[in-house]
Amino acid sequence: MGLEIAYLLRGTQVTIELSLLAFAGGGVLGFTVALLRVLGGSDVTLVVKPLVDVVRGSPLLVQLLAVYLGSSVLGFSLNPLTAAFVGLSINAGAYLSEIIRGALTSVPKGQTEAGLAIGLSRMYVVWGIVLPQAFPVIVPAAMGFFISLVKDTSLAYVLGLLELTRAAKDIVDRTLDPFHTYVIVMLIYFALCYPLSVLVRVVDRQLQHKGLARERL
Amino acid sequence: MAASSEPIVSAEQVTKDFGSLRVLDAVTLRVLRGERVVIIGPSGSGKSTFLRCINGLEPVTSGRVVVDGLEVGGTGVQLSRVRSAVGMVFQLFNLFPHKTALQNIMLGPVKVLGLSRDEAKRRALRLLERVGLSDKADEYPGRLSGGQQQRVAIARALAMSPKVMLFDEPTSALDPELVGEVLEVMRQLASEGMTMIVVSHEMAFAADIADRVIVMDKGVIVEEGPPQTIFTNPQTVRTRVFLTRLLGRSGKHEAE
Ligand SMILES: Nc1ncnc2c1ncn2[C@@H]1O[C@H](COP(=O)(O)OP(=O)(O)OP(=O)(O)O)[C@@H](O)[C@H]1O
Ligand SMILES: [Mg+2]
Repeated sequence: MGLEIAYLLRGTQVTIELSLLAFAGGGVLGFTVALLRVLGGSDVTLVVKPLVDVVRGSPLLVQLLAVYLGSSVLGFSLNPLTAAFVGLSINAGAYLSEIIRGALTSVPKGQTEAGLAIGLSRMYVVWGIVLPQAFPVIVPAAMGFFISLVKDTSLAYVLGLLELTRAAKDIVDRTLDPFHTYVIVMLIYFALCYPLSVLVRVVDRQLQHKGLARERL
Repeated sequence: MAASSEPIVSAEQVTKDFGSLRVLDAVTLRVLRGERVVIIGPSGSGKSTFLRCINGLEPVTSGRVVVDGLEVGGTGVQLSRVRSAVGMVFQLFNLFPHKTALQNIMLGPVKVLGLSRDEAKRRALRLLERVGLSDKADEYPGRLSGGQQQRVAIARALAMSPKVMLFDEPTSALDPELVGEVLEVMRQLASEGMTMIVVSHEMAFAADIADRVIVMDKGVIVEEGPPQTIFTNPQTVRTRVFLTRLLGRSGKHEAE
């Protein structure tokens, strides 16, 4: 029993690492894509939007297989961890770019115009005026997305990556006790995700409170 | 008339289309240094669009706009130069809500003009005093009244030491009791010789400060002249119809 728990905890560690890595990768990618679309206008959107749509419109599991198996066909075969990282980052990047872009475009146009009217560059206006106002929208939404990302990392088990779900499967193969094993695994995922969802609510309330404090006495 | 004979803004044959909609149709307007021009006209006649063409917020479809010898348009750098020479005040103030009044005013001088923070701060404080808001320097816009916000917005535009100020219905979003304080600041600016192009339906104010009133309708200038002529003896039917409606509306407003 102790051995099995240790094995699950090792899987949990990989799950956490993969989640954080993919969130970082997706964050950088999503941020870049969102800025390119907002700053670049219709030309960039014409190229980038279909890519984002394809990623959002197809199953993550298929994307992971495409990266993993595709890479070996193309001759630079990625190990399971790298393939999972790349696949999840691309997927997260597509979703996060939409979250960030949506938040940026929700800031009233008058803000951009006022910035441009005093001679600020478009780049500075997005960075220094629009983004700070979009931030209170982006942060809770991105955190919420991170929670689903943690759960989505379980799909990486098809690549043979020894994360939490794969660890559970190995144990079940040996002990033939799927019921207890999977209940424990569910509780571990829950223990990872639930505090985060509480945190999202707190942060959301804090940010709103701060916004309101600026507006009222 | 404080105006000299040298145009500081010249819009030549400015045409602006939004898709198939022609919003400005070969509008030509030359504004002299120190001149005060008030633009009036019915909703949708293209007044805001015209102002936005003057500082390049809206690219013109054809024609050209020259401000103080600089052609409006072209690269980002040139646009930025033109825009810092043209102050703009918006109907909805558009102050940056995440910055204090002082920070709102300092931003342009620091980021665009390259002033040191100290210098920019001194300039901002001086301007806040000029618009009567010295005590609000560290207040966020959300905690200021509409009239106070608009005065900060005027100070923000003035901080760039503009050659021309554009005002797009600066008082039409304000509660009636707050209109006066904003018009007062604008009067003071006018008396200091600032070149101003003002879209406003405050007739008494227009009559008071305008050297020239421009009447726009459906994307063209239908009539222009000194305020006395336009308001008391309009030459075109369209101006007469517009003024009648406007006076009817404000008469009703006062009766309520
Ligand atoms: N970005 C835009 N895209 C499409 N149409 C626009 C755009 N901006 C303005 N228009 C249209 O151009 C016309 C003129 O608009 P504009 O805002 O210049 O009028 P206005 O004289 O300022 O009116 P108001 O008194 O209501 O402010 C309107 O029909 C408007 O719908
Ligand atoms: Mg308008």
